[in-house]
Amino acid sequence: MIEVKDLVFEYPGKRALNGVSFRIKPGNITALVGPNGAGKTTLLRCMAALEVPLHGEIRIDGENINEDPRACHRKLGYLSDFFGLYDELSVRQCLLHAAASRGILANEQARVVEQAAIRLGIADRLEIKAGALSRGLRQRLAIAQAVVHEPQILMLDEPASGLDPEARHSLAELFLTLRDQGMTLIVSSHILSELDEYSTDMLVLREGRLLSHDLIEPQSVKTVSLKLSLSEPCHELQALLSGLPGVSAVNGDDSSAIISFNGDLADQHHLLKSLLGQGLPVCSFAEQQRNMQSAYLESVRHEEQREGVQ
Amino acid sequence: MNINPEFRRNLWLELTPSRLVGMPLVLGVFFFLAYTMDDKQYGASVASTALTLFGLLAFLWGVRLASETLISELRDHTWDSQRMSVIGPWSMTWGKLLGSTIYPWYGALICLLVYLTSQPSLGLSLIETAVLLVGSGLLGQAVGFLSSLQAIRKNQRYGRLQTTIFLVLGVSCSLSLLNWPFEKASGIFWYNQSYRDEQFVLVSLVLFLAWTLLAIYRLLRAELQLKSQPWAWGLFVCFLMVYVAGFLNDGSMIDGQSIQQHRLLGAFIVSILLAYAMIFCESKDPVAFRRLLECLGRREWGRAMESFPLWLMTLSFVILTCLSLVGISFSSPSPEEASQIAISAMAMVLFLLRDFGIVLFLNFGRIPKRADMLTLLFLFLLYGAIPTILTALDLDSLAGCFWPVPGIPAEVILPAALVQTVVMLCLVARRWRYNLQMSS
Repeated sequence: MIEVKDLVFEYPGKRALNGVSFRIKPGNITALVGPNGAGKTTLLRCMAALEVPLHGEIRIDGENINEDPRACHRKLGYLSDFFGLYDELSVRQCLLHAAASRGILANEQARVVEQAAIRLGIADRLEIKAGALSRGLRQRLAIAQAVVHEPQILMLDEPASGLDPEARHSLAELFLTLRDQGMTLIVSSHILSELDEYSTDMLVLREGRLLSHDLIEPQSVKTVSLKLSLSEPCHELQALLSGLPGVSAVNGDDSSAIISFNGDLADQHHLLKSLLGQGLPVCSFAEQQRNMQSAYLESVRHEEQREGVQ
Repeated sequence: MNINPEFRRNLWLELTPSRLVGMPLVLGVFFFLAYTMDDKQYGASVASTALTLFGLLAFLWGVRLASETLISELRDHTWDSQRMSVIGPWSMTWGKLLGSTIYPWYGALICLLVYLTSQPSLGLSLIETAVLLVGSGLLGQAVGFLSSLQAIRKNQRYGRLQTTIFLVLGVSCSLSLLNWPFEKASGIFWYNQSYRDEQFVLVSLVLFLAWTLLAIYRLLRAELQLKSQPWAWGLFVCFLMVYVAGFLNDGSMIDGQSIQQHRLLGAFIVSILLAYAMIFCESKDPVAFRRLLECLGRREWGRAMESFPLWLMTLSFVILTCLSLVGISFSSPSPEEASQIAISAMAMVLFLLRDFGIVLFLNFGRIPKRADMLTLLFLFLLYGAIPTILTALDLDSLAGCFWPVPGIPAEVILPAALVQTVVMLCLVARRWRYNLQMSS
């Protein structure tokens, strides 16, 4: 669906993207994460064909966006971090304008506007001026404008910034609904907790380079991280754990360990029983959620170690 | 029917029922006041009020709105969604230009109607008057829009000062053409042909309006990510050189050869002014230059032309006209005068290259945002302060080393200009290499 190859973008005196390459499958909700200044917005703007890269190639559904950006615009919806609305227009007029400017025929416009408004939950506010909407509703209107032409891909730059927790949660639900309706989403954010709710994979950017492209493991997968703590150190802990059934990796020291364990809750019970049976002074044994935060930090740590080696 | 979405949006915003009622009411009050003050006559006083109000609405308010239409899109963060729309550049041009100014035009057209039906004093036919006034208003607004568009393409900054500059530019363009037929009555002599003032001004107005609209269209094409090659700018440079050269037919120069040379000199000066204007108007983004050089390196000529800087293209016209001036000097009946003109022209080209070197050197530096202002300061020193000091010290021939003063011998002015140019170009090359090292 989206293929980025060796993308390089420079601002005068600064390389914002340095050889970024990845692929995104249709139906994914890809989280684009990284610290401020990592290049997230630049990458999204390049993918939205709003900026021309120095080198590299971006293909949307097989089409090179640098060759024909306007053809790709038909397949894309983009919401920038500082999106704008025509405050003096009503919600209906905003959506009608968006539909017309995205090439929807005049006799179709009223229908697609109603559809987008229902989809985004703003159908009861069509006659209200955009300037009179709350922050959360403005966000919904902006997304409705971006999806009014039914794009295949929706890109959102920091969509949840400035929203209250309730609005953030409903935004997450909205993204899942859009995904279920067949859209591919790319959501940039530096607030990782909000991305946990809906992301299927994560692109980690740092200083213009792609550190990793991780699949966020769904809950049904049986491999879990277990954290084990002992009340007293045991020198053979690592070796002992490695020999147990279902344990695929062990990290830690003599007093504690993080175990990658393949098994369900009953298997976890047997593991704990076996550890206690071998006389280990276990004082805590709990499953550790591998969330976006831990995956991101793992990527960053891995990169730092790599740089340290070099 | 699909209405231009941009025009429709502006109609929604600008033509609200209260505003539609308000404008004629306010104008009516002014007209009634003029009518009562002129002994209840629908004549000169009403006409002059209508003309003044037309000017205020079309030239001041209209130009201001046209200049701000794109700036407000950027300020309100709505321009990106417009850039991703399917609206074509021509629809965007007229949708924005006429849409943003529709309300002032609503009032201005009422004023025009009152003016034409009262006692018009311009001495033109009614149709000519209407075309002249509406055309001048449109030209001013188009120039305001064009300058703001060009400034936005150069850098995404905008402020009150810039808007005021765009307004002044637009209003001056409107008024310069509008003033013409009313003050002169002697006719216009162009390429040895005599034309009626009004006739000539109306044709010029239409031509310049067409060029301005074409320029807006081309810049919007670039903003909307459509690829274009710079043929339109090349045609405009040729047009302006030919247009201006047509006025150089002074009666005292009977000799055909001399007129030809003076016309060529006029065209040369036009190309120089346009080259200077373009280098300050366009972005000198080093990344864009790298992209251009890489395209040239890969022999992708079409793609290279798409990102070819217009100032560089204008430079080729400067060099071509300069070479023509040098060539023509050999066959001139007064070789001394002709060779003096050729020497001055060559020196001007070298000084131009030196100045472009300064512009690029500063723009490739650490603070490119202030580079153009800094260049202007350097140019003021080079063309103003230093020669003045040298002249005051009775070192006139040295002053000629900094600008092409007529009468300075070729053996002084040409080597001096050449040395400065070479030094500047070496500095630019050095900074370019440094930039490349930094980015790799």
